[in-house]
Amino acid sequence: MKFDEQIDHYLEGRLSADEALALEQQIACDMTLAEAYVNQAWLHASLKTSTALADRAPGLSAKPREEKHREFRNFAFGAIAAAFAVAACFLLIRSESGAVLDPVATLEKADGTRWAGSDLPTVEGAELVAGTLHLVEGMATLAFVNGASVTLEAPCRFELIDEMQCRLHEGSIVADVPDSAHGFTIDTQQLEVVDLGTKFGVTATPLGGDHVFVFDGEVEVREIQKDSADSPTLVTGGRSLHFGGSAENQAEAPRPTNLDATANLRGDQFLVSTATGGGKDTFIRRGHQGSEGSSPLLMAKHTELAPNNERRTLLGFDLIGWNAPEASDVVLQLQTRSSGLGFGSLVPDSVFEVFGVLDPALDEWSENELNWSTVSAFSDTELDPQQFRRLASFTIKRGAAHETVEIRSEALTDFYNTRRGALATILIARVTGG
Amino acid sequence: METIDQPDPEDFLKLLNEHEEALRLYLHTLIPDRAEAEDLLQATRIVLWREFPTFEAGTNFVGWARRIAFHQVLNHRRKRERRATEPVDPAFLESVAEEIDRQSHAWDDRTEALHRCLAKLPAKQRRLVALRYEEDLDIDAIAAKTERSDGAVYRLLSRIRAALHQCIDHQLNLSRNS
Repeated sequence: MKFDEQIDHYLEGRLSADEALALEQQIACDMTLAEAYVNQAWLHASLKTSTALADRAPGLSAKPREEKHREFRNFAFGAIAAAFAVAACFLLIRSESGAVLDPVATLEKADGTRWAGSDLPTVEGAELVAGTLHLVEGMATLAFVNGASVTLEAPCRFELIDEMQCRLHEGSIVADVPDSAHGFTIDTQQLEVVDLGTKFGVTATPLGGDHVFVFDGEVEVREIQKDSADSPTLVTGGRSLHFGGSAENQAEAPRPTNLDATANLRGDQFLVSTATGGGKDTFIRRGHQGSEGSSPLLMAKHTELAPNNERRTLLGFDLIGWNAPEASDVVLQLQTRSSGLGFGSLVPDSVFEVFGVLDPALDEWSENELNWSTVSAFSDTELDPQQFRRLASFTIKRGAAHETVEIRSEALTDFYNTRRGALATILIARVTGG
Repeated sequence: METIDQPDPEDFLKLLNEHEEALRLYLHTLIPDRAEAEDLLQATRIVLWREFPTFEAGTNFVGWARRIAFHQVLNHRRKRERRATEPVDPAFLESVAEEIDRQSHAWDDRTEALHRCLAKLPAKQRRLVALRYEEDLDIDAIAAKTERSDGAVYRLLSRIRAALHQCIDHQLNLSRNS
């Protein structure tokens, strides 16, 4: 039975329990199938919930159509082009199926940051569920659902437990907690710091010295080892509390290792980004001599109208520095933004192809040196199948402004599994012209 | 010290009224079983009201409500799993929910197109659609009522749905090109 038929049977409850489960599992692994499924499920749902079944003159709808979903921005540029800008790319590696959790905070600001392999996404605006962040360079601010704001300073290993609780494994943070989040707690290994409406900082060092500074307001600090019967210490504005270790030890806190894979294991799911370890990303542009460097916005574009504008994106993932496990499922996650370079509405859906680089010699490219002519293998019109394996393709709908694209395929999983312990380079090129 | 104000029930009701149809459509797309979807909608309404103090006015109510609804679905399924014999795959639900998030910006247009297409159906086919979806009869009951085999009824409904899909796509292409 073809998939559309299977889906139809499923939605009408005409598949056996086994067949239904098998179909569900297939849909869970295949984005194209999921799309077809939701398309059909939507129709069933619409027919069930629609008020249109009553006899009604065509053209009359129950609600006025809202224009807000369709925004055609007018740009001053005359060129008709299609592009997507990739704000960040992640390889989401699952060794078994992961679970969905509630978002606890949003990563509000993350400029100039470098992260070690983490089980949470690390791009600005990303929603974070429970998990650990490992910041190697820079500063990042997390905005919690309850209104609290925590700024991490590298080097820092910070675990989000739930909305009201976090653990600082090492490093420094400053928390700004409004009244609505009274009781927000940050633990270190030895201390529990409960907010009573404040701005405070906590520093934890692996050699055991912890520091709590209260800038404004009060916190309650309790030693975790001690009896809960003991009354906690109240630390008020302008004061600080120092616990354990010695002043010298604190000054010598060693830098955390770059890719601490075991600490970042959340059971069975890992995230590797192009900012992890030796990862890199860039794009190459036909006709452009300079390299694009490590641009936060990568672009891939192909147009027959202006051959000079063809672009291809290169992503390098460092799978060397940690114990990359064998994966049962790998997802390449791209977060796109409208690049604002053209009339997106006039261009058809854009289809992109994803290739894995097979030749290890081609993995040695550098963000700052690569351009269209440096590595001819990357710029061939027809990529050499000896050197590139087509892993998947994906479509960005015309007019799509900001979305997360997830690319999954068996070929991608295989590619990841064979590149473990090495560098993995992925090339993205657009297929349809326009 | 500031006190947190209790949310105004009128604010909640206004938002709920405005967006309930969208939420209902979301749940029915996620859950094929009509009764289960309606149960979950009811459970979700309650949780929405309970959690309303955490909703930030002016932000995306539908997105917030959908997340809560999805949570209810998972909870409900987990409970059911303990009693029922049929296994339930949470990864499947997540995939569907993600795909819905991806597609649903187009749903308003598709719904409008669907209305136009339904109006174009021949009377006999409209009747079949009404029996199945408005009166909520299952296929066996429709077969009895229309004196056909249930296989035949299913196939007919299947063809009607395919035709509606084609019509909707066509309608959307037309409006795109105009």
